Amino acid sequence: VKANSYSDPGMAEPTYRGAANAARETDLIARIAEGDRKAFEELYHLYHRRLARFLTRLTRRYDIAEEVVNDTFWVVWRKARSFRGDSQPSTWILGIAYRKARNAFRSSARLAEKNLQLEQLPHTDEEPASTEELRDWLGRALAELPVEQRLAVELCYELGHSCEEIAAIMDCPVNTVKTRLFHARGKLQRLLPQLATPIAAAADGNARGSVSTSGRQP
Amino acid sequence: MMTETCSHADAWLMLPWLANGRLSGAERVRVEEHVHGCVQCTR
Repeated sequence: VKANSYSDPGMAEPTYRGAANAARETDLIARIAEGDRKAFEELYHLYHRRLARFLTRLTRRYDIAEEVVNDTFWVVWRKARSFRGDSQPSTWILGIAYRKARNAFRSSARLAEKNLQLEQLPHTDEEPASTEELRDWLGRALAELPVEQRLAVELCYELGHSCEEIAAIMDCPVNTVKTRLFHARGKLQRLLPQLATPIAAAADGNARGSVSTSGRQP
Repeated sequence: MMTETCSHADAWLMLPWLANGRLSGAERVRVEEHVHGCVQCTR
């Protein structure tokens, strides 16, 4: 079994970027704590796209996602001094985004529910049609999950966090993370077999490929 | 905690991190060994 054998190149942005980056980001946060605007700008550029994608997928609303991104960076700016470096910078920042997203969800849950059918994400030209289609499928399937499960899925599969990191971000026990993903996978497996179980999907894909090829031959 | 041989339930819970490549070395070995030897997993 190969790591990431399931993933579409367009879907996963490598986000676990190693200890050197963590050290760099820890340094940036320390400078932000001293009021260094250049450092803040740099951290903003490192995280904006990642957070915006994560939150747009999560909320399916650009306006809410953008608001949460701004709120998150505002907290980073104000609270940088309280970052002690006992967690990774990415875990700290995602944890803030997670709490902000939860609050935004609570205050706009009714509205979001009402608009879910109407607010379709506009198509972008940056990805091939098949990837776009896949994303749309996945987006619709994810929308069926309870928000905690959807978050766990995003943090694991989209952002590539370890189980321990997700537990830190969501401020819950490791076993709760495993259980949330277990239930999410069960539900996604019914909706999207090829995405929920990468191992079965690879085998299934091969089998189906050979069947359809031989089926086409006279 | 997982013992040397990983049960199917344990391995199944860990699959998301086998897929995203974020299992530690020892954990990965245990889960991979289970997956390769398990009828349910390779089905």
